[in-house]
Amino acid sequence: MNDDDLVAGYLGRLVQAARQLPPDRRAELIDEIADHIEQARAVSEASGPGLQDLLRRLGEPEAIAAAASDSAGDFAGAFAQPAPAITQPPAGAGPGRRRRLDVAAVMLTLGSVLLAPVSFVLALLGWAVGIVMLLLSPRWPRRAKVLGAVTGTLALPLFGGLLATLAKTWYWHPAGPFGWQTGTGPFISTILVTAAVAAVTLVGARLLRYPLSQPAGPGPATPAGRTATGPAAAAASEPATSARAGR
Amino acid sequence: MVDGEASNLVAQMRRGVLPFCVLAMLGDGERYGFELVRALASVDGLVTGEGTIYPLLARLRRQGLVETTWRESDAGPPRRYYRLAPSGRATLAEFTGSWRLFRDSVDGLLQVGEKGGST
Repeated sequence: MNDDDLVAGYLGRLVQAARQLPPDRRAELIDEIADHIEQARAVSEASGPGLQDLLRRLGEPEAIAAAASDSAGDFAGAFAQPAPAITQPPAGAGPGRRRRLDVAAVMLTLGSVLLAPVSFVLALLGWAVGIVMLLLSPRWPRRAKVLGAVTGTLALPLFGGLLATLAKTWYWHPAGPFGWQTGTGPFISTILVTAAVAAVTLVGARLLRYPLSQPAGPGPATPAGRTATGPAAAAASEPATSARAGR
Repeated sequence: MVDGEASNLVAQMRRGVLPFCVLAMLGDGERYGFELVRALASVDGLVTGEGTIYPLLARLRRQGLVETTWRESDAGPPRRYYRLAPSGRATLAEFTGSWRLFRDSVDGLLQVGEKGGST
């Protein structure tokens, strides 16, 4: 039996032994063992007794397959943080401190605008800090960061201006900073504010549903919209809690 | 205690601590898979076959405890490099604390037992 036959025979036994594994895991395991053999042969143990020794060190193919199908004795799982990968639903995953920071980032980016009637400078400051935290966080892919930043930026003048206008209208000031809006009346302003609140809440809920260290792929889609639309106006000041409650 | 129970327990313990030994070996930086497997297998009494380490590495990847990247190599196929993920580092730290406590407690009891046996 020549060396390549020896390797082929070994891998053939592994294929047989690994039949019960899910196809993707089986393929992965066989690839890795084949790579290991190839690398060991590239180093030194290319042939003859060296090759036999290499295969002996690898162990019986049946034992390797058994180790792959064995999910018991997996103590690392008991110590691990909730796994971000397979079974875990989005959000909630990840260390608590990171999550709190990210919730703060979303609330500041999208919610600082609520401070506008009190102090526009404060709103601007909160918005700026929020944007920076948002952009620096590892939680979101670039697409989501842009979505959050753009929404927060659009919400600031629109929502803030409208709120200020509403406040001025309430007190019978003839022209607020956005004088043209007082002409169309508080009714239109109220509708616009509600729409802005809904949009901001939707985006906020969506951002907060991103799991930590998610592979670059499409973000979680449908549930965010569902939880957010109904109580949008009520939840506007607290997009974070609405998202968490919906989980 | 039945004969063989102790050796069976040792086998289980070995299997149980192996994932943390992998994490520990990545503690000071990344390594490529083949090298990692060879280094682990050369530790006395830790693994029976090098091949059984690969399923373990796959599991640690799925659990998000380690991260991997592929790199081209001068000789042979591309190599998969492993490094600790943040959650892997936290897991390792937690295990290290638990293990030291456990080890010290058992060592203490075993010493008492040895003294009793020798007199």
